[in-house]
Amino acid sequence: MRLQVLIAGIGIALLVSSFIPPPGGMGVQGSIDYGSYMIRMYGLRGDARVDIELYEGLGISFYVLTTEDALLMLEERSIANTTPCFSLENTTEYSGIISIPSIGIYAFVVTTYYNTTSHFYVGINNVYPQMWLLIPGVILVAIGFILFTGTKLWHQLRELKTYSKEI
Amino acid sequence: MKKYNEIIQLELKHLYRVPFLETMIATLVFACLIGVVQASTRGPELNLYSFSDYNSTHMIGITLEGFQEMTISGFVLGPTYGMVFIVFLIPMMIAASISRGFENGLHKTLLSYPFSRKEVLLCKIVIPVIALALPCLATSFVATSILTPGYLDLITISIFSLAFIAVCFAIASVSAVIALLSKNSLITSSIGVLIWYAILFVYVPPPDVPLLYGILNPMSTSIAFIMDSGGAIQLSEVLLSLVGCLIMAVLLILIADRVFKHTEI
Repeated sequence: MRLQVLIAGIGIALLVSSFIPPPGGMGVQGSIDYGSYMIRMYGLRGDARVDIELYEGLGISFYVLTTEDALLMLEERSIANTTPCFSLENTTEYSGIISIPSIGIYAFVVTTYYNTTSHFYVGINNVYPQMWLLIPGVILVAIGFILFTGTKLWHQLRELKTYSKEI
Repeated sequence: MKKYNEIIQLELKHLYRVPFLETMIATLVFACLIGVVQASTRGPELNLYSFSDYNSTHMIGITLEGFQEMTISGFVLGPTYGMVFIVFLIPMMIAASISRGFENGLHKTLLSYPFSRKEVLLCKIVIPVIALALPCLATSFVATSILTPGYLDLITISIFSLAFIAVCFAIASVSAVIALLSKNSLITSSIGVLIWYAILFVYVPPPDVPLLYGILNPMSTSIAFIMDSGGAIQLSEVLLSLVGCLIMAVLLILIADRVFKHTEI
């Protein structure tokens, strides 16, 4: 009885927390000169919503790199040998959901496409509910519920058997 | 060991009825998850003015340090969020278990079995500590391992976990002494909660952490050490505060045992 309730309780905790975004947003914002790179690294736990706005300048390039690719970029001083999970070149506006291969830390790289200074905003938000919490949460609640109901049924059957034997 | 198991079973049956303890554990899991997720979102921030004028080894070093800091923050912040609830819950559970035991006759029931007073008291102190501290640490460890795998080291895990458990033991033992002296659940829970809120939420920045504060709150010194705030806290200071806190908890349990022995039930 205790174990079933505990499993279901932890499942509910996971379910609820899968809908709660952490305080403080993620994103890259500011001015960037030609040849400069602005890199921000964030932990992503699933697909992310990306919003890009260019306030000043002609166009920016935006790349999402895995940790390995980010380190490779820093080592080789070039983005050429990396395989971005997502990339946009010469963009002025974008709004959409990007898929990431797995949970982990990702680098968001912004650079200018033309030889001008660009003033931009890139907003990054995880998509809720977070699946890495939601799926185990649903499974645990289901296991807890099945075990709880099963145990109750089993007890009732046993009582019924004892009762019928007595009769 | 069998005797302790029997006492724990009786306590669970008579005192911590379903879903009292389970709800508390689920709440702590929730609080820890929020803490871990919050800390493991923000990573290092780099501005490269050109690809030619920086030292790549240095930059990679900074990035990897950032990843590690992010992971450690996640592992530490989860149980720290949990501690906000634990400071409330442990004194209340001790009050319900020890102080109320005088009022509702649970002590009489337990002592009618072949258990010594020492065994009963020890179980009453250990149950809340184990039931609340372990889920916090386990949640934090699992969530951090999923979100930022590979950056958590054994020293960080051991030092912080020991400090966290030591604080929980200290809270439980102080509450047990108050409970046995007052025999009143309201006094036990209110004084226990107030004392530990004051101790744990007063921030003394390193390196000026007095030894007494370190002993009362080894979590603070261990966090300062593992987050490496400029090397302000040494490992010896962390170990001293940890051992000090555990000795304080053991001494308080011995005092509680003496008081319990001479208390009429």
